[in-house]
Amino acid sequence: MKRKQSRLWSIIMAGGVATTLLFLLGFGLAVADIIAPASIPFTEKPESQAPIVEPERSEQEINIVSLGDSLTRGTGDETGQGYVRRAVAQLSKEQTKPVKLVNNLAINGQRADQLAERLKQQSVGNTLKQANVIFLTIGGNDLFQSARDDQMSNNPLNAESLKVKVEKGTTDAIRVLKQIREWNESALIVYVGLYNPFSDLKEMHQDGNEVVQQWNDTMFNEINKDANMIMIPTQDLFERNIGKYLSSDHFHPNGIGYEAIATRVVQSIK
Amino acid sequence: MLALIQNETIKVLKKRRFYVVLLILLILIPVFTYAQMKVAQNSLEKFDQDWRRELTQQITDLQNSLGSDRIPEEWKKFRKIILQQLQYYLDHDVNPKEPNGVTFTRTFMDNSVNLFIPLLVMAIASDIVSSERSTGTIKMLLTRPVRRWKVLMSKWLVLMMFTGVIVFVTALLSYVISGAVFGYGGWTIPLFTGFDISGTSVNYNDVHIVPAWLYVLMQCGLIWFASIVVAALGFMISVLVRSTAASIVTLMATLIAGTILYNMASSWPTAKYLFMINLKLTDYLAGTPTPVDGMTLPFSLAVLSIWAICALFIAFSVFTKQDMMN
Repeated sequence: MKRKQSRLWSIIMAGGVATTLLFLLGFGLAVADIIAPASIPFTEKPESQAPIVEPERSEQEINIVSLGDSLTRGTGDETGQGYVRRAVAQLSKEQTKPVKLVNNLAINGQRADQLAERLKQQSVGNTLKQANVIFLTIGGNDLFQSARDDQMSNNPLNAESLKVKVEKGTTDAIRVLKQIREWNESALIVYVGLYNPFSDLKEMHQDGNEVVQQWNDTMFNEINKDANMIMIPTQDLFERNIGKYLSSDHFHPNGIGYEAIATRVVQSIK
Repeated sequence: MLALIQNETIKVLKKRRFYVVLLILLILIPVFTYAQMKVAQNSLEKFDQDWRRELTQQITDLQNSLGSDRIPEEWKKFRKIILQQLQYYLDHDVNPKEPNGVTFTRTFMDNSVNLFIPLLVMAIASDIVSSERSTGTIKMLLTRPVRRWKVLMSKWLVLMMFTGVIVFVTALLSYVISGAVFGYGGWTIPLFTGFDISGTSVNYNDVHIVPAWLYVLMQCGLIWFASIVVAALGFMISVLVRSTAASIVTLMATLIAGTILYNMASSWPTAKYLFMINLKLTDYLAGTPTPVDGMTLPFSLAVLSIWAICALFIAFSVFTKQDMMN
């Protein structure tokens, strides 16, 4: 017993001294490296140019990448699926090939100019390269983000200011389409058009519809130039169904509204 | 002196506290490994093992949460920085979470630096002096012809040895146990360190690659330093408080209060002078934002050193002067 104990104590002691020395070394290295970065051995500077990864695109399955604003995100859908996941689910029933949602890159409140900026990133491009179908919604925030604020401040929307926004917004949105095409030259790009969320308000019915139509027309003219781009209209769906299809924020669709959009998307691309 | 140290080591081993520490590790690490395995399985299902896809989605989700008005500003700041780091990993095509034993050990050590490991160290530290007083054996010890400060010094040295062993054993067990599930590789995967954070933006000028083995070594070194400081405080309380239970509760309450304060410290900048707020030294390595703006590694080391030196000073002066016989 006594011998066993004396062995154990010397093991613990030796271990204590060894670990203390080891950690002193680690501690010293850590302090040196944090105070003077990359000053210690075995460290190196990363290459400034990120390696470009060419992801493989499989033709055996339908790979979907979606990007855009809150509509693609699915804001307002009580199940959180949005039209993207609903369309993926419907499409899997129709298709014999497996349908896969690679990534949903949509960001709430994103405007066309912000998306254009984001599309410059290599990592976003890498994701787009994996797709053979790309879903896109953009423009709602370009047009109506400030419109909602204006309404709050009792400053009635006027058609003139909206028209300026259409011009600026569509220029950015067309840039977005071109950038997506640059990353991926063959995928089917599905652009879901705008609807007027205020068409049930008397003062916004006519002006709002006009502006939305103008936006959609401009986008259609651009999309029409590319045989592998398609535009899904939604204004006609929503015009007389605002109460039924919009969620409580009176801006985003609810689950039924998203389901209706998804059905249309699937009808057009299956 | 060596005889004293031998005597103290045998006493600690006899009390079986150290075996309790080992037992805790042997039970808890498999639990965490299992949880981590479940997380890995989930991401395997959702992203078919494509970490780039998973990371892309994580970045998008973080960006979305930044738009929400319900998220407090401090969290947004934190997430903005994490987001930029993740983007950096993605842009350089490095997987920050490659599942293997080393990654698990690194994450586990990162998460245990401010509470779990200090608690284990305390299990030894809290009764190293007080137990002798509550059982009365202190009289036997002090009637020997040895100076009091030598007695205490041998106890402190033994405590330091055990602290080193505990940190090492924690890292070793988490590597051995998690490696059985995730594989034992991953020592050479590159990791990024040197993110310079100012406000909500990250400066990449000083970012450099560190191999995982060196990262873990540096991390353990920093954890060891933090543990020594906790050990010193536990040592002092053990001298001041007669009952072992009281000294455990005192330190435990302080440490837990520290983890709560950690989240609130941004609105109370003076908290940065408390030792609990400075224990997460590994944050400086990982580039995680500090709880209070403007905290740096030298600052934290200075604060911790002052606390530890004061604690040791009090412990020694009280122990050598106090009347121990009652």
